[in-house]
Amino acid sequence: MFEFLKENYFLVFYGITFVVSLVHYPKYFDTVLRYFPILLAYTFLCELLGVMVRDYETFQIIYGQEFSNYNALIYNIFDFIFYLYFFYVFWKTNSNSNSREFIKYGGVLFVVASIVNPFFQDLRILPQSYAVLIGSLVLIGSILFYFFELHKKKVKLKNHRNLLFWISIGLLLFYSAYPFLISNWIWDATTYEEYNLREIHLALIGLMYICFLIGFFRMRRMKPIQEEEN
Amino acid sequence: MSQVILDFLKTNYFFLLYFAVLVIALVRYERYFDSVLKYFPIFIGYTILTEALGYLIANFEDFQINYSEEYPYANNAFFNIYDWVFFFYFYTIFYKAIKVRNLKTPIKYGAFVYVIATAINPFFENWIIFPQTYALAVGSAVLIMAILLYLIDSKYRIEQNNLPLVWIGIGLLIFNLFFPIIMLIARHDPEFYQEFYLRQVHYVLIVVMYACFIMGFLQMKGNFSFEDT
Repeated sequence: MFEFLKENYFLVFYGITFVVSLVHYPKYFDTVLRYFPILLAYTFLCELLGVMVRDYETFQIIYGQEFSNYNALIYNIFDFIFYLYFFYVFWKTNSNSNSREFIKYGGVLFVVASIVNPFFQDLRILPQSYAVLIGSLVLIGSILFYFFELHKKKVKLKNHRNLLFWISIGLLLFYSAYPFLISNWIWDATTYEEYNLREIHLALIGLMYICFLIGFFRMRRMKPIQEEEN
Repeated sequence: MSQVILDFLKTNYFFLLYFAVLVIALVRYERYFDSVLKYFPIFIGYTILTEALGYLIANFEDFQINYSEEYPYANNAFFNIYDWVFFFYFYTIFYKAIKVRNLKTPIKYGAFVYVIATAINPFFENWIIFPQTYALAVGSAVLIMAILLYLIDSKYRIEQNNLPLVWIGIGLLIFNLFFPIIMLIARHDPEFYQEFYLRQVHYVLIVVMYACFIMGFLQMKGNFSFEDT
């Protein structure tokens, strides 16, 4: 059991973060992040499914000799939901109209990219690298807008006590590398293997979730949604 | 493709069910955040984690807690811990929710009896490998008593919005009436258990219980807070 958990330590991170997010739920249940634990639960279940499809012969989504152990479909759906969720969060949080426009049109672009992408890369067996690239760029952009706003507006809540601040840092760390890792895996599998990029990928997930965890442990009560809008 | 999805749902519908309860419990959280059910989402989260661990152990060879030849794939240790949490969580909820003092005390003594039962049970059934059937029977009986006391108690009040808790009580009541019996049969008369598809009955009971939870949150109107309980 411990062997398995050591190999798939990211699963442990997902599980722990999910439970911690529920423990601290009373501090942010009426804020823009109120559905965040649902996303974390969904992540956990997705990854569980992904690991099982990857590791166990009898458990497959697509049955075909050459495509066995492909779990890309699960992650493609997951990525789509994940990006849209955070676009929504930052769109709600940012009050600057430029930044909201950026997120709105960026979100539309991302949806279009996700619809077009399957024509180039099979949705069932390959990650959607173009959609991921666009999604990451928009996400990074909205996070930078958010940081800019935090910097400009004198907010009472200190940054290191702000859950969304820590979540943004985690997302920024992971999503600035994620599109490159994915593209590398698709087009240049040898370097991917050679430089152990999978390990880096997993380590980045760990790092992102450590940021989330720090956020939960250090957070103070967040402002409810209604006040933010005024 | 659709066949595959159907097969997948057939074997994994529990996770979907738990996920549905989690979603509705969080969506409605604003309305009951200062009631006795405050920590209910944590309980659901813990349930999901336990089920995930149990699932991995039951299905995969290299993911085990004990490597005994005789009983491979035994995942009951996690469920035994889960049962403690389960019973104590709900004892606490109903204890706090009941207003009439005289109705509270039986729960306290009942919980004490349950503790003794769990302490003695491992001498008869290996804690790592088997479910603790006797402790379960005691725990369920005490929980049923607590629920009935709560239903009696809530009759004394006219104006109330405790629907989620009433529905949770009903769901738990239905489940706990049959669950210990099924476990006892499974343990001591496996042939009977096989013959009458009691495993399916067990699953149906779980679905009914969680459906009741969902009903409670769907039906609630207005807020549910400490004053109401």
